[in-house]
Parts: sequence; structure tokens; C-alpha cells
Amino acid sequence: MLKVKSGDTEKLGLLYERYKKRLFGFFYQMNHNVDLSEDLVQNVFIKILKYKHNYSDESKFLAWIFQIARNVSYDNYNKSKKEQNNINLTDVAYKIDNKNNAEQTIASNEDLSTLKIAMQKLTYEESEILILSKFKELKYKEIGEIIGCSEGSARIRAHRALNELKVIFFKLEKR
Amino acid sequence: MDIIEYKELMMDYVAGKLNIEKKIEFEYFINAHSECLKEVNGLKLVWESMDSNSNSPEPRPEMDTQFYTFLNSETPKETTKKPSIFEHVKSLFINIIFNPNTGRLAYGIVILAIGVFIGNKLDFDAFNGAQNTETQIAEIQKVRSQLVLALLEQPSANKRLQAVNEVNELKEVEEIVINALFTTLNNDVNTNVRLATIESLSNFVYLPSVREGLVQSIIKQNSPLVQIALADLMVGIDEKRSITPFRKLLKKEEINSAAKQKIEQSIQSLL
Repeated sequence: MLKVKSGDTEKLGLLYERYKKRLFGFFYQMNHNVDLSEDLVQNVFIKILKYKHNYSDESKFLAWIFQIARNVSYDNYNKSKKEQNNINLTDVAYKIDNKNNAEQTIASNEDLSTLKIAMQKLTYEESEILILSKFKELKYKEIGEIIGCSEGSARIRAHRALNELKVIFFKLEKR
Repeated sequence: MDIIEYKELMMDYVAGKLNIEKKIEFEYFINAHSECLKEVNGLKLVWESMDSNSNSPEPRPEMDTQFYTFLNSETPKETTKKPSIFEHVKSLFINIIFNPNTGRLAYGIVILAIGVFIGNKLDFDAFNGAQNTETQIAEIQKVRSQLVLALLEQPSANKRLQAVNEVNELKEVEEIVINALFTTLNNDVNTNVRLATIESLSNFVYLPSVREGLVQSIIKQNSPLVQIALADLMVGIDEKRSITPFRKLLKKEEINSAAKQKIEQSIQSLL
């Protein structure tokens, strides 16, 4: 990354090869859309070039790149939320036929596991911290850096999110 | 351990991020407190179910194409401060013409490059400026590829090093150049040349043939420096196919201890 920062832009290719799968996995877990996740990976690397001057050799690169990925994902989430708020009745009729509609997907896909349904009932922030906690290379110190809180707070949020998931999961299982 | 520490460590335990010592201490505590054991087991069950539900598909090759198109479009903007094509060809000409060890072929190619360049200069008014520059770049690239092939055949290590460094200036690389680079990587007697070859090939790791060639080259390397450079590159591009040849390399008795340590670390990173 330091080489990219000093102007050797071609070295971005090495970073891409190293992190593309992890970033794609993160986005895909968040939105379950292959096309969108691929676009978001691309956006991360565009932002890396744009903000390369903010990177310092003391930063842990994995935490830094996930910080960017998190912002990219959150911007996209806000954008799609805004779009959903702006839809009129005609759009609703259209959306019912649209395979990307989250609720419709839940209702129609019989193969969707209970846990997947439970995950979709979590808030955006709860899903995000659980997905980040799944990365073995990320300790809670780094997760705190990514989401902008202390290590302890990241741990508590992850615990609460997992607890919430457990409650929803067992409720769904009892039905 | 008390209840506060239990709460602090719970998520790390569930996520498998505790070290052995802490893990044993934690398990001892929860086995002694049935409520805690129940809570942890519930969370662990959900956490482990998440693993089986988190299978993401692989990103498609289109994503790579899109990225490298973007990267190619960004690279010239970053390199505008580099010397002009004319200055570069001139420096190449001076460098080669005044070196008594240079072969005839290299002379011929440089003269051809000058011919192409002068031809284009004379014809300049007939073309639109931007189109002309593009044509010039394409022609220079072609000449540069020929120059690389010619210089790689030279007996002087400096010339071969120059050839390998020339590859870094190529935007697109022909298969014949890639093959010549792998011949150099696997057979050149000079370690510096082989190291520079790895650096040059790292610019083209988006080509499956280059990745495959690099993996196959691992077992052929005897120099610890080259082995370490390859280990770094394989981790850099997350090439898991390199694990098997690296393990074979580790079994060799004559392996250098620093290289051995580096390879072991790299295998761990790749797993």
C-alpha cells in the first residue's frame, strides 16, 4: 500500500488480488447480490486511490480497507433505503415482481434457512458487526477501528447482536 | 476469572479467537457455572450455524476485467511526470550504442526504433495529434517487446537486467515475452536477474498463465532470495496452489533457514 501511496499505482493490482475475495464475501453477506457486490468491490479500490494519502504505515491495512468497505456498503444501504422511501404505488406493484426485494425473497424462497431469515431480521448494524466478527484476521480492536468505537464497545455490540440473532432464531424454530 | 472477565472474553471464545491458555481458563469457568455454560452453548450454536450459511459465491471474472480496465485508465494519470517517449528511446539508444558488449541485434532494433520514430515525426502533420501519439505508443511498445527479447539473449547480466526492467514499461505483454521471462526465471545464472524477473512478472499476475508459471517455478529455485521473493508474491496474490510446491521445497535438506522460516509463514498466511 505504501508503494501505491508513493505513486506506484500498478501495485494496486496486488492488493486487489489479495483482498478481492474477502471484500466480495463481506459485501455479499451484507446484500446477497452478486452484481452489486462486484460493483462495491470496485468502488473500494477507487476510494483507495482517492484517499491513499490518508494511509500511514502505522495503520493495519486490513482494518483500513474494511473501514473503506464499510463506508461503501453503508452509503449503498442509505441510497437503497432512500430509493425505497421514495417509491410510489406503481413502484410497489413493480417491486412485488422484482426478485431483489428482500421481503419477497424471504417469503418465496422455501430453501432459505431459518438462520438466514433470522439474519435478515437483524438491523443493518447488527448484521455488519457479526459479519466482521466472522473474519478470523480481525480482532475486536480492529473491528472497533472499522466501526468507530472502542475495542470493548465492539465486543459488547457483537455480543448483543449475536444474542438478538439467537432470540430471533429460536423464536422462528418454535413456529 | 470473574463474571466481568467472562463477559469480556465470551465473544472471543465463541469466535474461536482465544489463545489456548485463556480458552482453558474460560472453559473451566463455564463448566463451573451452569447458567454461563447454557448461555455460551446457545450463542455457539447460532455462531456455528452462521458458518454453514455464510457460503458466498466466488466473484466472477468480469469483476477482474472491470478492475484492470479501471487500473489501466488510472495508471497513465499517475505517470505523467515520467520522461517522454522520445527521451526514453534516446536514453535507450545512448545506453546501448556506447556499450561495447551489445550484440548486433540490439543495434538493429534501436535503429529500427529510431526509424519508426523519425517516420512518424515526418508524417506528423498528416495525423490528428492524439491519434498520432497513440500510434507512436503502440509502435514503441512493439519495438520495446523486440528489444526485451533481444536483450534477454545477451551474455551480460546487466543487459538481461535491463531487458527485464524494460518489461515494466510494457502496458500489454505478448505471450512470447512472458515465455522468455519464465525461461529467464527458471534458468538464469544471475540471482539479481531472477529477482528482477519476479518483480516484472508481478505486473501481469492477472493473467492465469503467469500465475501458473510462477507456481511451477517455485520448486526450480535454489536461491533463498528468490524463494523469499516468490513466497512474498504468492501471499500478495493469495495463490493457494503455491502451498504444495512450497511444502516440497521445505523438504529439501539444503534449504536456507531464513527462507525456510519465510516459506512456513507464507504457507500459514495462505491457509
